[in-house]
Amino acid sequence: MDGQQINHHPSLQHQLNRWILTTTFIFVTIAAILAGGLTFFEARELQDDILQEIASLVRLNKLSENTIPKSDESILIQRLGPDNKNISNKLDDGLQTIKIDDDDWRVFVLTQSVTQQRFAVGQQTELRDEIAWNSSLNVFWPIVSLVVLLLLIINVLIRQTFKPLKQLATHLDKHDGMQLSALPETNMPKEIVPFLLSINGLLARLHQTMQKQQRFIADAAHELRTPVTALSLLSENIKQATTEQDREQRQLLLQQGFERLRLLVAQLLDLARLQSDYESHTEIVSFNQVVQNVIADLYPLAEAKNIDFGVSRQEKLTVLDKGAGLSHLMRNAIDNAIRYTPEGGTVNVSLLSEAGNAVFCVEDSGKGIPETELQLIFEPFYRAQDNIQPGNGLGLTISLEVARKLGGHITLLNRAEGGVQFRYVQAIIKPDDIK
Amino acid sequence: MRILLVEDDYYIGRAIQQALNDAAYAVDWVKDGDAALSALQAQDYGVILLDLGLPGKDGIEVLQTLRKAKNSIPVIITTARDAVEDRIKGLDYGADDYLVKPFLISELQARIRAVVRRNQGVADPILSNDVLELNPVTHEVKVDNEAYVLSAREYALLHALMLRPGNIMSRDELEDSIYGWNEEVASNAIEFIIHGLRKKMGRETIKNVRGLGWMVSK
Repeated sequence: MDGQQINHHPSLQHQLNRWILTTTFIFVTIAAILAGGLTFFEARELQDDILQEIASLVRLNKLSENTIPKSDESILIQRLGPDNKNISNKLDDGLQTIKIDDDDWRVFVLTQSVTQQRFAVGQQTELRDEIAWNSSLNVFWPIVSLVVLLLLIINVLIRQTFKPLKQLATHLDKHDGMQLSALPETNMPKEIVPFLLSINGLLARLHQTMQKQQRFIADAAHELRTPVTALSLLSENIKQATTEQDREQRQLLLQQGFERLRLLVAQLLDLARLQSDYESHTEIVSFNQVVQNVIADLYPLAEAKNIDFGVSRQEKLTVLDKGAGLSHLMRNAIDNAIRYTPEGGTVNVSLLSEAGNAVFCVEDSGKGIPETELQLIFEPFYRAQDNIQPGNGLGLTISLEVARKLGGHITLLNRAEGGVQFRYVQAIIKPDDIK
Repeated sequence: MRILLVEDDYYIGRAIQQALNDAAYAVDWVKDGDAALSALQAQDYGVILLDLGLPGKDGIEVLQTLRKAKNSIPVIITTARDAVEDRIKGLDYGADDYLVKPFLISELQARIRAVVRRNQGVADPILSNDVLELNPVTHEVKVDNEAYVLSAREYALLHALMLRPGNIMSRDELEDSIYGWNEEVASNAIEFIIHGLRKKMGRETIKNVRGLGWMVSK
């Protein structure tokens, strides 16, 4: 399966090789045939010229049939006449091809002007062709061999050029997926460097995300240890109870310990769901309705602490929500405000629109957060110092995750008049956008 | 014996305090490093149980401050950090023992007994003089080969005396070593406990030095 898929990817190297090979082959064949053919015909013409040269010498009686040694059979001079049985005397003067004993001959026939004797200067066609063929091959072979050499060199060059890519692939193959170090940029061709930089950027981002995840898992394991330790100790303590009342008190503490563990596990699951991005049912909700429900849920908490808890301002707003994330976010914000506000304090919630955005604001009259902790407080499992309230330090992490999903923004700041202001801003969905 | 518990988690703190009270230790519980250091200035403790991940000054800083001031009180670190480097660091900074959460109460108690024993320079877990043999594990005392089981308070008081036989301990010192901060102490509580002890072990085992306090013989 995989192998097939890989084969479907075009290889630049193979493509380059194929095209260079095909085009070179076609052009070289044409060139070689042209050159060879031209040479062939030129060689024959040249030989005709030689025959004519010799004939003109014979005409001037400077050459006779006995001048050329018998051993050299390439050119033959014969006197024509009744006693010559090979070549008939009826041939016209000039260049022509005739048959002698089933062999083709090229002959030049001439008549000596003074003696009126006729001669034929001839050469066997087969021999002539062989000579012409040889000279055309002499042209053809050097071209072909040089081109083959050229192709080999091109092939090596292409291979050499693609070598950095191959090295890169080997380097990537060696990565075990846990340590995402950047790919080496040195000695890389200029054309590949931008691509490489992008990959390295991606690797760095992946590395960061992975580190964050690993840290989160380590933190989560560590955080689970605390409630588990408490539970193990509290359950051991029950055995030591002396009176019925004592036992009940210890059991109550154990139950509270379990409740804390349950809350932590629930929050971890919430966070995992939010981070996994799937299973997010998107809907358009009334900002006001969500806030109202949360306020109704949390009212008893505020009441128990005698806190003046209410809405100071509200406008009708509709926004996008995914997987009831808004309700999580608002509950965390209001719950925190109530927790950190002393008995008899005030918690104010307001909803307003500001430059096309819906703003959800919670202000408490607690003692605020030390400036040094304002950033740290967003870290998973971070709990505000001197925090007497049992919490898991995950509330704000979950809210941040919700904000990320909904494209909103959270700010937390100390108010000048004391206490903390939690502010959440998200784009408004107008009624006409709904349809 | 009085123990300083430094633990920022409410439920773990409650649980340890409860368990140690059950085992007749007086426990003072503080939730951060600064409170621990001020408690140490105000009071003598037999052992400190020190969590490392504390708000403000963390456990290691408390330990450093303590050891710099030449305070040799036994320290047991109780923490969720279980990496070997953390343990080494804790011990190197002067902790006497290192207990990783979650742990069992019985293990914590055994370690408390062990560090106290080592701190007193006693190898034998049984505290004894020429008349008494006190077993810190079973809370039993042996007199003339007769064993008596002690109540938690009785044990705590006798243990305080037996740690330094021949030393006179005042009422305040004895109260300090068996009652935590938040415990109400009746004015005659010490006399009442000593009365119970003497009834079991015999009058002569605990001597009263008028105007000063009580002691067991060497």
